[in-house]
Amino acid sequence: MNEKDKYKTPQGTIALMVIFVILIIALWGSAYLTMLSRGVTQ
Amino acid sequence: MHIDRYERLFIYAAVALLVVFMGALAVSSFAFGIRVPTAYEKVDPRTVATPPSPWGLPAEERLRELSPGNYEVYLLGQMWQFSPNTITVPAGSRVTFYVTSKDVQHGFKIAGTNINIMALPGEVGVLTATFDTPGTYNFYCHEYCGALHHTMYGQIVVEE
Amino acid sequence: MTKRKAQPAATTPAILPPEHFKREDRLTAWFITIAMIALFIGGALGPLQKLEHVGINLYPALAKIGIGSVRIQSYYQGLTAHGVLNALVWTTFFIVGFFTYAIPRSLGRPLKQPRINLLALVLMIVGLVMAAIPILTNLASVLYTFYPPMKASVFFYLGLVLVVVGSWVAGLGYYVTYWQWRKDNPGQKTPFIALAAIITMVMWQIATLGIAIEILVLIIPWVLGWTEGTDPQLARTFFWFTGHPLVYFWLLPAYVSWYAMLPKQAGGKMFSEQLARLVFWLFLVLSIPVGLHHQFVDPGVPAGWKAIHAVITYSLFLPSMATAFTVVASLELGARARGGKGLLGWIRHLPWGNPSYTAQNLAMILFVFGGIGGLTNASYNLNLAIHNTAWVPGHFHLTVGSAATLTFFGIAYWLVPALTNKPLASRRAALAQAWTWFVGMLLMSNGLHILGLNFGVPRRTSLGSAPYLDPAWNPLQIEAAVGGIILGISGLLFFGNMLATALSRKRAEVREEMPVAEPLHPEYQTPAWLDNWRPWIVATILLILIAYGPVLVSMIANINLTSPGVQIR
Repeated sequence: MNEKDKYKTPQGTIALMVIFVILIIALWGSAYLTMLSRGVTQ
Repeated sequence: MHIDRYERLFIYAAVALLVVFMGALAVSSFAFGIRVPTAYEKVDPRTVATPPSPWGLPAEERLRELSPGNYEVYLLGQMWQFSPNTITVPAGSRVTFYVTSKDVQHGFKIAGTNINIMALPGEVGVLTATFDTPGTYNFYCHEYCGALHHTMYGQIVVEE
Repeated sequence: MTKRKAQPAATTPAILPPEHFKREDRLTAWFITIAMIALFIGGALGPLQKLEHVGINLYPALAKIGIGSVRIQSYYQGLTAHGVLNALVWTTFFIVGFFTYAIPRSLGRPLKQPRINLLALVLMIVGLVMAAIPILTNLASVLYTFYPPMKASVFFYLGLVLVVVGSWVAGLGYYVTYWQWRKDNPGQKTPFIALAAIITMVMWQIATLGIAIEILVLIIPWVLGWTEGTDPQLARTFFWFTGHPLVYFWLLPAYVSWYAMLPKQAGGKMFSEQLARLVFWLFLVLSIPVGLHHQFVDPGVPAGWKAIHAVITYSLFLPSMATAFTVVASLELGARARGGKGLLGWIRHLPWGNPSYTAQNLAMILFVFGGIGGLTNASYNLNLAIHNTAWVPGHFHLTVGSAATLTFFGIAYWLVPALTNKPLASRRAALAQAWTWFVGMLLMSNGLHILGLNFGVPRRTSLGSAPYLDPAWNPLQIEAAVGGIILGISGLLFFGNMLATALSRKRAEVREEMPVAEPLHPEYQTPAWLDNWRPWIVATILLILIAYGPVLVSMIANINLTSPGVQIR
């Protein structure tokens, strides 16, 4: 592993983490909207 | 302690995301009114199904109309049939459920609504639902309560 | 503990040859073997459950197999065995076995008192048998959560207590060894694998106080008839005091492998060893004061305390997010070192041919969805939509069923060859096993999640014989059942491979050893507070007192021991 790579943040990881955050928003959001559509409880 | 610059940014983004989610939950709970059950009252399961306890009334009398379109029902969980297990109300009715159990733990979830309460002996769970669209809504026992747990369900019939 | 400044470890010392760890390896072999037998029996019941949901009921046939009253006679007896054997026995035995192997090697010394860990093994075996007999004779069909006021045979509860106490004794064996290591190495930074494993055991020891109190105070006296009744709400609260950290007891050993072993297997380094240490300390502090997020719809718990536990649970999501970043970065380093190029092109250069690596990487991918599902479960009133529906088994088959179990399979693919000094019987069968588990879990958990959220289908129910079975559920039930069948095949691939490895007469040319990843930046000084137990233990206890103190005090003050309960047949 050459010197340069050692300190540069892995770019692929950043890309995968962006995908991860998008997944969180999409999946959590869909559950949240489903709950909202089901009406109040008081 | 050294944290990589991008990792630090990622954690800050995660914190921000969680704060937004918590805000959305607070709005849906306090402003919109989708609330979880809270502590209500203790009862004695050995006598909860006998008068003068409200769950001691005959099943057909445990659904009461307090005022036009405003109902309350004292729902009793028992091995292995809810009582009453059919609740009929007109469309637009607002129904408050007082749920308890006289033997073991049961669950109470009305499909298609946010009504979801554990029915525990000795406790009373309270939530309210408004049924605008006519139709039949099943409610299930969703906590294992013995051999015939899978037969324990009921229906809310919302008429025109 | 003496106050001292932690030194950076020059490089991780080479592992002592196996002759130094003969007794540890024999203990590990016992734990791992029992774990796998438990998973074989418990796992085999899984496909039966999914088939029952699509109307193929094999339980009458299954009831014919057995000796006398020792047989599985009902769906719910099977579900109890599936839950106890998989979620409690397979996990606890494998974890204690894995730590008995890893901690001495990480500390570079054998166990100080191996007899302690032998006692742990004996206690856990006696406890296992004592709990298994009532289950197999249908005297404890109360599922692995055994909620009172359902009553099971008293031996079921005593057995569980012995397994838990046995795991405490195993922890004691590690602490004694670790104490001796610290005395012999003043000022030396604790090796990461040992520190992370011991933190996990300490967290488990504190967490199991809840289940111990529930069983010893609220259940056994009541089952034996010494008290009139029990308090189901209070019992549930003590159970879930342990119940949530229980899932971190399953997850953290997988994190030990992901952080400190997998990067070595992928030719990479630990991207941030300091952050990895902080993550484990945070799990010690945050795992326990969150249990009420399993009780959002309980009738007897004030909504305010439910909200507080929801917020603390949200903070628990951060160490896992940091883990995702750090572990993926560590693996990327390895892939690039092996010639990987491009933004994502490096992924092809990861060692996909190594089943130990592939199983754990696929486990991580499944855990992305498991983690998001967990965040949804913990989201206070969002829980109303999914509590006790099929969404929940959909969730935990991605967490304990994949993140932990598939990772443990990956660990076994180097650990069993290392223990037996024999080559893995079939590399290709192991790869096929990892991929079939991955596909099977995707199908099953997808079906279960949608059945739960969209249709409110209840969990823990023999749906095939339910009067309310709705044909609209069929497509998703079939998808989940196909997933269950694929998982059954994958299970056979795993056990066949393990058996063939153990029974083969070949000797490995090169002795397999525990992979230990080097930190990317050994020159960074680990701050002393990342290697000092006192502040973290104090924080753990304080946060538990804050989050659980008032709730438990008010529940105990209004204790309602009026549920006589029902003996479950």
